[in-house]
Parts: sequence; structure tokens; C-alpha cells
Amino acid sequence: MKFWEYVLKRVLLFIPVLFGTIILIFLMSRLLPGNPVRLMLGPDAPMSQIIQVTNELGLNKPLYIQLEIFFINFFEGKLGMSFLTYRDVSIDIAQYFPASLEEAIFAILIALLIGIPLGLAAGIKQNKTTDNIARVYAISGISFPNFYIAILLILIFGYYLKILPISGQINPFIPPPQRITGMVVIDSLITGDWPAFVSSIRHIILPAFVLSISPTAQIVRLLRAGIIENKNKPYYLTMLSNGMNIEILNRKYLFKVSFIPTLSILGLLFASIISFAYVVETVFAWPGLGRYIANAVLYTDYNAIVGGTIVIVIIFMVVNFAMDLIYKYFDPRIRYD
Amino acid sequence: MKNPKNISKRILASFGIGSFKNIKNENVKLEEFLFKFKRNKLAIVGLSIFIILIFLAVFANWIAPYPQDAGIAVHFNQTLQPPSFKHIFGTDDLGRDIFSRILFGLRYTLIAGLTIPIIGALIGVTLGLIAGYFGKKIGTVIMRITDVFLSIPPLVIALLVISVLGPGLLNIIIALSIDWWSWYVRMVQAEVLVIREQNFVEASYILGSSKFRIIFSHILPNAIFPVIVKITLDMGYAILNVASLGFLGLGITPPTPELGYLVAEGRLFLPNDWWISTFPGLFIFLAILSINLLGDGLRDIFDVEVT
Repeated sequence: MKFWEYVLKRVLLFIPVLFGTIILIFLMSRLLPGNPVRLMLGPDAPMSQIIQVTNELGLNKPLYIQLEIFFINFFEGKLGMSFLTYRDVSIDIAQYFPASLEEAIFAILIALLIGIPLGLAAGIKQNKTTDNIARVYAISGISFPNFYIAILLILIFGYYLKILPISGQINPFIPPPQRITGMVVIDSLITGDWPAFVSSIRHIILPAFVLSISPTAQIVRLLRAGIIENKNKPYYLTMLSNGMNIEILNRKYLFKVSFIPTLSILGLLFASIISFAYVVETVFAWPGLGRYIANAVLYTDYNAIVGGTIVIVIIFMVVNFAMDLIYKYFDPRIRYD
Repeated sequence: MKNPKNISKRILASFGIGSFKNIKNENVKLEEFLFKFKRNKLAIVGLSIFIILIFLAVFANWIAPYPQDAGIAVHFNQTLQPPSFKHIFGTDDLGRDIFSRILFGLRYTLIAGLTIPIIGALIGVTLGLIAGYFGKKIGTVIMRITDVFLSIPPLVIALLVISVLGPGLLNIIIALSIDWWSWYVRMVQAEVLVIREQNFVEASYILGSSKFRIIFSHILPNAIFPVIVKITLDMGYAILNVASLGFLGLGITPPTPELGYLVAEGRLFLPNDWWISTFPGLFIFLAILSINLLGDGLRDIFDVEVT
């Protein structure tokens, strides 16, 4: 029962923080110096037009009324109208969100698939070749600007080798699958649409890989450090000298313990994936949320920026919160008080 | 009755170099620090590259063969030329020398990358010290506000701030600093909570030191290590963020030759005129790499755990 009490307590604490964040973002967008209407309309706009647009957007009302209107709309699911697409921002977000989710899931999968074996090998065979390769990869991984490596990969795979496609989510000449979840790979898998499935997989490899480089590097680094630390602990050496099979030993005992710190940064990894998704999405013309917001910033689409930021922040907080709970559930050293 | 010979050592000590206790509670002196540093080859490589880059950026005016190209000059008679003796890295679509632009862009990128973590650290460490030492009400308020900022992914807020403030170097610095300081508050507050319980702090209090003196002369030098390492690691990350923002053209007014923006400019001309994108990107990579190597080396030496 103790764990559930803890969960309840955390949820109760989480909600005001969530509200506080939304209010904070809203205040920032309204209170920072700089006139967004001016930025939107350009420097030559006549005063009358500026006043008109300001009234339309409701920016001239006192702050608490604006906040009230915003929250009323928010709970009805409306986030204001986008200047570029003339649709409600929430509709735009609902359309682009699954693509970003798909990309993020694949990126984390790739990061885990590559990072865990590499980190394990680096830790177990410390200071040998595998370890050095892994360490170089880890450092380069976090040092490489992701747009740079995206461009390089596009050049290599898209242009010189002509293996993988350069942009978009699916080949434009292949009819897209029926929209169930909105994620093209999963939808084509569910509906059994084989050409669409192959095409979408081919399209998602590069963006997901580029996004996964930085998390992979961090996973390798942390896992390696964890393994090295635990390798010299007495219980490990005792079991080893008692003749235990080293494979079972590593897999069953060493890995789980060393993996715990990595689990704890999964939230941070997710943060970095969300944060840098917009760069990768722009380079690959991937129709995701990041690109939507980056575009909105470029064209100063005010409602889209604020709405998109709030949605991303909410998602991030919820995911972080969930991961925090999961982590606390599995770590036997935590006391729930 | 201050001994003048010891003043320099005391100043260094106040920064934590000299006599300090690391995580194993040993006394490590300055010579030992340098010795360890020299043994860590990667850190030396990182430091050398970093010094070269700073040198290039500071003396860009004198080193750049065509300094006016970093500004408004255009030369339509020499557009899109590949690397040659005349233009080491070639020219872009407006005939501007890429090498000169990179040098000036390096200034921009390095300034942003260096100031953002420092500003974040200044604010964050101060708040963290207050929160950790004075505890209870003030501490809780500060930590709750920090929690709000911590739960926001960094770039998203930066995008928001830039969209309202408009482009420019100062605005990028402000935008990225807003989310940065929250990490320092959490780190310093945890450190202060631990250090506060130690005997020497209690002894100092009994001897009648003012709170100010306790915080600045005793707690701060011991809490500063993870912060210094984190600043160095963060610099690389800050440069990455600035370059990413510049790549999308956010926060840049042309013709400012910010390195990320240079890569974006050259993207249109791939793969034929590859030199426009490749070299700026290479410099971004070197900058981040050198700082990361340096930060890693420092972290190895100080034996500190940093998130």
C-alpha cells in the first residue's frame, strides 16, 4: 500500500506544478518585451492594422482576463487559431504529433539496441579495443551537431549510395495506409499494407538514427561506468571465483544493477530527443511537431508557438513523471515516506 | 595580520584550487592537479584544440584574409569557388570567403557557448546556496520554482523566448539561460545540504562567523567542484544549442556568420559545392568536441559525479 500512497502524493504534487508551468509559459509569451503583432505583420504595417490584429488576438485585454480566456479555451480543446494554416492549433498538433511520437519511439529503440550491447561490451572488456571504440563513439556522439551528421548521412545514403530516401515520411507515389494511430509504420503494419510499410521503414531509419546518436552515446557511457563500478564489488568477485558461469553472471546480476542509473536518465534522454527533434525533422522534411513549432517561430505564428510549446511541455512532464514512478517502483532502495 | 605570501594561495583556495577535499576526502594540491591533468591525454588534446579555437576567434580580425566578407561585402565575380590557395575553404554563393566567415562565426558561437553556462551558473549557484543554507520556507519556494523550470525541455522555452524577443545574440543568450540555471540550483542545493552538516562548518559557526562568511568561505569552495565540471560540459551543449538554432535561422540576422547558419546556407548547394556546409560544421564539431574532452578530463580528475 505504501507505494500507492506515494503515487497519490506525487500526483497531487504534480498537478499544481503542471498548472504552474502552463501559466509560466503563458506569462512568458505575453510579458516578454517585443511586440509579436509587430513581428507578425512586419515593420511597415500601418497602426490601424496593428490595432486591429491586437484586438483580434485579444492581446489588449488585461492579463488575468487573457489567462481566463486561455484556460477556458484550453479545456475545450482549442488553442487558438494558427496564422499560417487558418486552422485551430490543436487540430494541427493532433495531426503532427503521431509522426513525432513515431520518430521518438524508433530513436529510443535504436539507442537502446545499439547502446546496451556496446556499453556492456565496453564495460566488461575494459580498456581493450572494444572499450576504446565505444568511448570514442560516446564522445563523438554527443559532440557531433545532429544537423551536420544528418546532412552527411543524407549525402552518403541518399545521394552517393542511393539506398535510402531523403525526405518525407513515405514515398509520395505510394498511397498512405489507413490512419488508425497516425503513425505510418504502425498503421501500415496493422493494415497489412506491405509496400507502404517498407517505404515508411525506409524513410524512418535515417531520422530516427540521427536522433538516437546522442542518447546512445549517453547510454554507452553510463552503462560502461556502472559496469566498471560493479565489476569490482565483492559479491561479483566472490561469485566469479566460486566458479559461476560468467555469461549467466553478467547477464543476470551485473547488467541489472548497472542499468539502474541509465534508467534514471531515461527522462533526460527523452528530453533531448524532444528538444532536438525539430532540427532533424526540418532536415528530413519529417512532418512532426518539432518542425511545426520551428516553422511557427520562423513565421512568428503566435498561437501555434504558444500552443505547441505547451503541448510539448505537458507531454514531457507526463512522461518524466511516469518514468520517475517506474524507476522508483523498481529500485529496491527507495523508501516511500 | 595577513601574510602577503599567502594571499594568492587563499584566492586560489577560494576558487577551490589549492587545498580542497574531493569526494574521497583527500587533500589534493595544485601540483597534483596539474600532474593528473597532464596524464590525461584526451584532456590535453581537448584543451589544445580549444585554445587554438579561442585564438582564432579572438584574433579573427587579423587572421582572416578577407575580414569584410564576414559582414556585408559581396563579390559576385567569385561565387561558388572550390577551396584553393586564394580561398582556403572556398567561397559561397555570394562570393564571400568561407574561412573568414568561419572565423567570425566562431566568435559568435564561442561567446554564446561560454556565457550561457556561466550566467546560468551564476544565477543557479546563488539560488542554490540560498535554498540549501536557509532551508525551510525560502528553500521550498525556490525548489518548487526550479522544479517548474526543470520540467521544461530546454530548447522549447528558448524557441518561445526567441519568437517573442526576436533575433540577435543577446536574445539567444537570454533565451537559453532561462532554462539553464535550474540545473545548477538543484545540484548546488544538494551539495550544500551535505556540506552544511560537516564539522568544520559547525566549528566555524561556533567560532562566531557571520552567515555570509560561512557560505562564501566554507560552503562555496567545497560545493563548487561539480559546478565547474558541469559548466565545462554545459559549454559544449550550449554551443550545440546555439548552432542548432542558427541552423534553422532562428535568432540570426543575416549576414551574421553564425556557424550553424553557415551550414544551413550551404545546404542548398550540396552535393556539388560541398565546401560551404562542410567546413563550418567541422568547426562546430571541433568546438564541441574539445570542450567535451576537457570537461571529461576534469571530471575524471576531480572524481565527481555530475548529471
